[in-house]
Amino acid sequence: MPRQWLLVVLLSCVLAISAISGCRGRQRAHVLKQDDKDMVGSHTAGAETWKPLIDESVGRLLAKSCATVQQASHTSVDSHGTQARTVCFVGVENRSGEEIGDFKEQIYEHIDTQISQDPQFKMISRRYVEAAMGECRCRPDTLVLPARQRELQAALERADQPFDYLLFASITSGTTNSNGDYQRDYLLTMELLDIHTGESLKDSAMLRKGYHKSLIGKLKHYND
Amino acid sequence: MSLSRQQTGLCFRQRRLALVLTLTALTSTAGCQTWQETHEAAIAQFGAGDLEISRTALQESQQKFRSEKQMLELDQGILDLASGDVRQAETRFRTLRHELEDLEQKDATEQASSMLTDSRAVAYSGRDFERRMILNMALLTSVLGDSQDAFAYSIQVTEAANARRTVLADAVKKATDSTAVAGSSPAGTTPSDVTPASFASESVPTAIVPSSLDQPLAFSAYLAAMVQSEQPSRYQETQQALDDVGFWNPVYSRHDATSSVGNFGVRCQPGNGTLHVITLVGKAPRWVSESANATSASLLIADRIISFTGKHTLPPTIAAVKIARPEPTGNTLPVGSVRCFVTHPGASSGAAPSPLSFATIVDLNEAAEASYREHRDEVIAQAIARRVLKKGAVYVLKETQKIHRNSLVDLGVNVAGVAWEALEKADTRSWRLLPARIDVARTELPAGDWSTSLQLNGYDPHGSAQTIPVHIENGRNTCIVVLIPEKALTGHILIGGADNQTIPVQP
Repeated sequence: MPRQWLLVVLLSCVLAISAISGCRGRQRAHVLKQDDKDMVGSHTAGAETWKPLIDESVGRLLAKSCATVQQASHTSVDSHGTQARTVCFVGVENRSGEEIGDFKEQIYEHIDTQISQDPQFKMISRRYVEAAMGECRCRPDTLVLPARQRELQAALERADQPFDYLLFASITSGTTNSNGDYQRDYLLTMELLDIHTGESLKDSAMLRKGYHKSLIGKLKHYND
Repeated sequence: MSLSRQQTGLCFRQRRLALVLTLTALTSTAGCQTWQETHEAAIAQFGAGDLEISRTALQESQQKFRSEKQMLELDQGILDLASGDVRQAETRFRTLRHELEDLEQKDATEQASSMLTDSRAVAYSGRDFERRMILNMALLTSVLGDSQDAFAYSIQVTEAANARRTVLADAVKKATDSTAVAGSSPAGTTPSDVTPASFASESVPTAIVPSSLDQPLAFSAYLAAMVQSEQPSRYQETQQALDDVGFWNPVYSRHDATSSVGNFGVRCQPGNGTLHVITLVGKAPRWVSESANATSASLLIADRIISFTGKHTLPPTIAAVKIARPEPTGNTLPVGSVRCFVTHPGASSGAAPSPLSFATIVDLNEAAEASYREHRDEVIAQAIARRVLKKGAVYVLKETQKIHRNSLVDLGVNVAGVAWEALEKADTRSWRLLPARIDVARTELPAGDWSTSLQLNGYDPHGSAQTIPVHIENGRNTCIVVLIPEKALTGHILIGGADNQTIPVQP
């Protein structure tokens, strides 16, 4: 009798293994509610990283710029007497050790939308900016060169989109390794450059994230 | 009478069991042939230059065999690249890289399943050199696209190279330590024999010698140098990447040193930029089944001894132990078949420019062969463990069912056992649309618009020279990528870096 049980157990194991093996690859989805938390990326940064970084860095930049309003040639004044700076947002540079994939577009759109909502700023449409940069064949990092800047200015002025400020956003990261686990610090830096004076306003936000192979790794490094 | 009925019932159950086992084993492999046929068709059509038919065949293959989705998607990535859809290719490689990293982790269910069937039960996570090539292709497609993640990938390839260097250094240290232990006098060492610590520390450490398996890292380093060299502040990183190219592929480095090929990015003369021409030549080796005859013979002797001396007989090792080995696919153009000239559009046609000099930076036939040699013993050991387990299962079955030696049921179970073993197949899954070789040529040019002419020397008599206009920028790198799976340029010519365009190959 025990021998027969042994056989039954053996066959059950085989069947169980076959059944479990067949389960891989079934994907499901659900719609998140407003108050649902974002999923935390296990290998790279995701919504849980970029959203707070954008909110914080844009908020800081707007707060800082409130205190330093300057009249420039293309600054417009609206019906309430508020001065609006015309800004050309030239893009997000990824200088981190991690690929950001499709998040780059969303980071751009989030920053652009959030700044547009502030009456102090008037953002030039991305479509104009991209077309002008394509025409000049210029990259964001070369736009501090006067000649390149003039080329971009001329291209946008031809499209009736003059600007006073260039806005740069860059992502950097720093990684600390410890026996296979690692902590990555993400820094989103925003820099608003006055093309007439060369003065810049700069602010950044940082978010730290720990990546662990196991729960023990989290306990070991962060005691929680 | 009741005993006889019991015996009859037992015998019936035993026969049914043997039948069920045989049928289960047979059905488990059914349906594999069809997806492989369409996959082969996709590879053949890619070689012939018909990308659309190749894509359709590959999609058909994916529908038939969903469990190896990642492996077939890697091929789709190459097709995307050849079709000029660089963005789609990059997205695919980026996603697949993470998916395969996950699959690389051992899964208990798959391991158990592979013991009952064969090594194909473990999900495909790419061979070591293929995984390195995924990162390379992600970096290359990023450079050809908008370069948004090129910097991140360049850091990742440097990290991957450093990790590999650490592994090699550890292996060397381990080998040196074991040699030192073996060489030390075991007993009777007098105090005067002890070497002073200062002398011991002066011993020259054995150098790390990378194998052909590491050649993809040379290409990684080359691409990293392209990305890093565009920033003057990253001079040191660029130098490190260039040193790495020489470290992982010394042959390429020697060629580079002897030919005047110009520098990278901001390391060029002021006012100049660099043009890189990268050719993806041939198709990666296919992995074919190989019988490990010595292992099979040893197993046969072992199971005969156990059968002779044991209570029960074991299924004889009739089916050979199968492992996979790489086999180069034919029709790969030799190095030097591609002739590339760069001319200024306004230049007079009097003096003929000298062609660019190509050298192989990665030979995936060599890398695959090195991978096969490195893992052969491990694969055979796994195959032996699987056979032992299967034979053990048959033995346990006979013991539990009280099957008499040399009875008809015993024979039936042995036949089922042999069939079970014979169903094992070698794991020949591989990324087939990778090139067999990547050749690189570069030249330093003054900034401006240039015209590049590409032609296959003597192999494509009907194909006209492809003229590619390129823009060179001061201190930047422009790269041209072409795919030549067989004897002709296929799909699109891709231009990235300082210039960005895709040009269909002219028939």
